[in-house]
Amino acid sequence: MQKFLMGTRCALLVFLLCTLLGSTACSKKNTWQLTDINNVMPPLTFSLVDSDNKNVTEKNFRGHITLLFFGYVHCSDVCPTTLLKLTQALSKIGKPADSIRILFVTLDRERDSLEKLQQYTHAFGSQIVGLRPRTEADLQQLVKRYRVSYGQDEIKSPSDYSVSHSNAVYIFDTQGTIRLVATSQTNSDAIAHDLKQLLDE
Amino acid sequence: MLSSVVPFFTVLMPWEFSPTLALVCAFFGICYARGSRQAAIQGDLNFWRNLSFWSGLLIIYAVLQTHFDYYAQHMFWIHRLQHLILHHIGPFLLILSYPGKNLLLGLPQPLQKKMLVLQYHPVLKKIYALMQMPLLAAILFVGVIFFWLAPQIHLIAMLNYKLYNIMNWSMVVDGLLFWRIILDARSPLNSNSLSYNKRLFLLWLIMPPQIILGAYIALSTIEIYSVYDICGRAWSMSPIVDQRYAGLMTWIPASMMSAIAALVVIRLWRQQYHLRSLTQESAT
Repeated sequence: MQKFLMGTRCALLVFLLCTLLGSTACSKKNTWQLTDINNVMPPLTFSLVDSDNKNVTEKNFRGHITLLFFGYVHCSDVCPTTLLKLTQALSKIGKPADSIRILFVTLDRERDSLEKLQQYTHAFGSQIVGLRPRTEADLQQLVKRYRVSYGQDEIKSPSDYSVSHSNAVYIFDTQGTIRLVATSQTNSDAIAHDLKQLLDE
Repeated sequence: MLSSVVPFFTVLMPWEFSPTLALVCAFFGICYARGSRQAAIQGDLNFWRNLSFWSGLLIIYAVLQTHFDYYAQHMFWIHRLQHLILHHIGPFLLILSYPGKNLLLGLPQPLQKKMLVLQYHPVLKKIYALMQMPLLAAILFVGVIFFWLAPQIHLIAMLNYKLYNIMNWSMVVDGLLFWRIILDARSPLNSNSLSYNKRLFLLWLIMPPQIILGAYIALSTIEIYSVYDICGRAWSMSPIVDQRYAGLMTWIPASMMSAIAALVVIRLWRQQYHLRSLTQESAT
């Protein structure tokens, strides 16, 4: 019985500690409208190919606020709506948003040639950079790094399929540190609000 | 779906290779194999105990070091299934095999002696005694489930590689500590193991919080955990349906483990009763 009672005291202590930890995690002052994931994920690191067939790494975007989004040209819903939302957010900010870059990484290396990627991204805006991994392994490494799901779905033929994928947009600051994430639930106003805050930092 | 683009054998390969986990599993696996071989030579061959140990170790390894982990990262209900295995089923099977003797036998001679000395280390003894306090163990058992399922903490734990590993390790270690108290084969009459009625009480005590949490998740009409939306689900499934299955996983099989463990405790209790009556008979 004594053992039982001693346990109660320790149990109470652990419970209080957990509550304290939990409440500090939840009561953090937050002015962001998107999900704040400051430093939770690794900093921006990649080695991909741009539409000019040049090797591009994160170093090319140092000093720019960078938005990372995974998708594919044949996407009929998530990709066009997300890219549209992002460009709307940029136009809401106006001139200061000129330095922001949106990286569109294709998950469909088979069908998305560099030319197609360039045509597609330019149709949405000049700040969108289409990027293609050199190998499937490069892509795997990058999606694992940012815990992005993707896979072929509804395969009708080898050239007719869709790619199910995450709709997250990861936002990195000028130093390449991960700061925020936007999902399909977020609207362009919220994105513009948070990007403005990041620009003002 | 991922499985449509990768051949079957790659599914058995680690999604994110963890050298620590591989080493720990290999260490315990080799020790146990050596120990059980020696025990068999000495005439102590127990098929069921060996089966229990190997299946416990194998399922823990499988849910962490195969592509199952990918699905656990991208589907909430599979994540709950992973934790059910890491916290409830895997450690339960490992402890049920009473592996202590075989593991010790399997260690190389010098390490065996060191381990025996380590058992009496004052600090380690105190920590272990603290972890084996019944009520604390029960609160910790339920506490780790609640802690990692607090939405803010869950989000960060699922996105951060290090925290994700800490979360999974904490589930296994806590499971081992809890089931060690419940399934202790030593009789409370001649050791400091917990009495059988208190063990049954603990098993009952951990049920209502798990049922409440599971029901809350299963019956919720809004999406509580945004991380699966952020990272994307492994295949198309409505977030609410995914959440409902996850809640059921936390609610029903988790509580069922208490019922299964209670059966084992009752069996141990009966065995003790039987042994006691036999010794009394022989005494008279």
